Amino acid sequence: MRARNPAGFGVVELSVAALVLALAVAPVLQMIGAGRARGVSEDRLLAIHLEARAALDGAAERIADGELPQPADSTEPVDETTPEAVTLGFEADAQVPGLWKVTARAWHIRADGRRVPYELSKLVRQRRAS
Amino acid sequence: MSRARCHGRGTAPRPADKSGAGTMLALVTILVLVLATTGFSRLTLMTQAGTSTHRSVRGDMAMLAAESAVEEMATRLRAAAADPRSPLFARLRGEVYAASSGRLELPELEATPSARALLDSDQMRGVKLEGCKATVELQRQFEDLPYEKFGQVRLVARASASVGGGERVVRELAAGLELKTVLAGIPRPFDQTTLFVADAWSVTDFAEVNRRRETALGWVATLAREADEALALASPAAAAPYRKLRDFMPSAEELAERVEKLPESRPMALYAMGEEEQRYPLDVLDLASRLSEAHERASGPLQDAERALDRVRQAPADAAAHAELAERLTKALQAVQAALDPIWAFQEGFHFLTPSDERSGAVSTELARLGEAHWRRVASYVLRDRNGRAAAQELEELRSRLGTLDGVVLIESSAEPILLDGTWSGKLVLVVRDGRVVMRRTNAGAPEGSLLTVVSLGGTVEIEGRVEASVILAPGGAHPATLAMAAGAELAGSLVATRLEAQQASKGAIVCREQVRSGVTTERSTERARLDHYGVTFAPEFAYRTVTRR
Repeated sequence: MRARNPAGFGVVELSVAALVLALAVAPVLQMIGAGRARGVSEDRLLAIHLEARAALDGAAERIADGELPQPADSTEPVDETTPEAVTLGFEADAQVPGLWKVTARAWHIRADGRRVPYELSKLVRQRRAS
Repeated sequence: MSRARCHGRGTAPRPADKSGAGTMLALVTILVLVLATTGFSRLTLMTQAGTSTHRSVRGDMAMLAAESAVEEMATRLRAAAADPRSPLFARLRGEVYAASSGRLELPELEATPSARALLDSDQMRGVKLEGCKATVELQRQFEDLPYEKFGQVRLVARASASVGGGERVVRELAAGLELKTVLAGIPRPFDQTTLFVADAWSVTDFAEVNRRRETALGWVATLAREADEALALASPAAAAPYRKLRDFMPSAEELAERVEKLPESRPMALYAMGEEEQRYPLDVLDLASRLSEAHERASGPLQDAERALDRVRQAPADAAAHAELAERLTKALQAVQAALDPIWAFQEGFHFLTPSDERSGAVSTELARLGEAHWRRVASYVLRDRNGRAAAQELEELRSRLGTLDGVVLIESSAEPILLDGTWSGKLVLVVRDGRVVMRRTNAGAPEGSLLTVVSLGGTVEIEGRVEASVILAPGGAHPATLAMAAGAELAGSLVATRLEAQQASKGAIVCREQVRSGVTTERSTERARLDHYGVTFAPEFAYRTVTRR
């Protein structure tokens, strides 16, 4: 018969250690998970913001190049199921001729998974010398 | 002896027995600490990254607000500069002298209601437009005219956005916009004239006109002598027609005073200052040719009168010969009158500017200034044939895109003719370096206040029908600019030319229009200046754009 090692861990010790470890690790993992989820959400926010901004700047460039927007150029807001798509809306300023309000719309998926509309607007002038 | 673990009574635990639990506790503690540190640092990193992303996004939203405010100020500025009801309309057209910086505050633009309305959206919550500022920083004269100037407008907008914890990110955008103010019509003082020809000798030979005048005056003296001789030979019954003729006939001296000799200075300018809708047929300009024709027509009646006098001399008692002579003398006198009347009419319609006139030097200087270099300086657009696209096509596109063209457009080169038909609203000076410009019934239905001026530096301007415009044949390159008018063509405006080939334009007429006159200005006041004749234009793009982040 093999002799027991007097310096080893007992079943009880191992169980207690596992319990303590589990109790300590769970919140840590939760913290890591929450941080990761928040990071992903912030990434998505940044991505959607940059896309909307790029769409706004692109529209501004087109107007700057002399391409005057028509009401038909405005695109319908996208469905929630296609959150990546950015749509543009053009609206002539009622008071200031030559000034356009350009709006970029998209969906932002929050950390909790909810989809909320994300909308950015900017005023753009027709580039002309008069 | 075996070292079996024994926790039995009376047996004290050996240190080796405790070390197992202690080690385990230490290991677990270390592991937990490592995991906690990893988790915390990751959380901190994520939070920092998230905060940084959040700040960036919020900062960009503040930037959007600032950009929108600057765009709105620039658009409102452009609209106000073209709207006579706006207080800025007159202020932007104010004169600037060398000692002044021309700085102007433009508080009317700083409200930016449309940009502020953008802040009502969900995404822009917490974004604030803190302040806007619009200033004309600097204005300078192009040359030496206080009403023709260039400058730069500075537009500044500052916006901030909340990022939590009472903290805000700030974005301040400053943009510079170049502006030009020019007289968008006939340059002064030529706007006061309906017709101005700097080289009067280009329209006719005034020495020849004066020679013809002397000849005609001589004919009048001859006819007077012949009438006197016939009167002496006539019976009392036959004398009555001669007396009547002599009473009607002015002396050559009286006629010489009435029909004055034209100046023959070199150089010498010719100009006309008409009243609204007064018509100046251009065929009258070549006076020497007209007189030559009149003299040809007069030679027959004069010879007839001479022959009739011979018959009277041969038969003084012949009543029929006297009756014929009286009739011939009357016809000859009418023919001579027809050779003198154009000179009188010319003097009534046109004026001369000779070197002895104190205005002559200043006018010559002003005309010499109207070369290509001047127009290039004041032009808002410069077009040319390029990349397979004709300048004429670019001009048409510019017109359809902008609707109203104001200011000065210089066309450097154009292989195709520039066709100006239809309506050109706004106040436009179109400068064409060379090539043809064809105007057909241009601006017949143009909105009130429209003013079109075509400047040719070396090409041909062709006019058909009634054209509501002015033409300047300015000093240019090797080939002088020319004007060709179709039969019955009318230029309703002004014609200013360094030289005018009267033959080419002789079928048309200039019709005086008061609207081309831009008034006068003095160093003390612009009250008598028509400020709506000044075009204020802005560069399409900002000259600079700086962003301050805090």
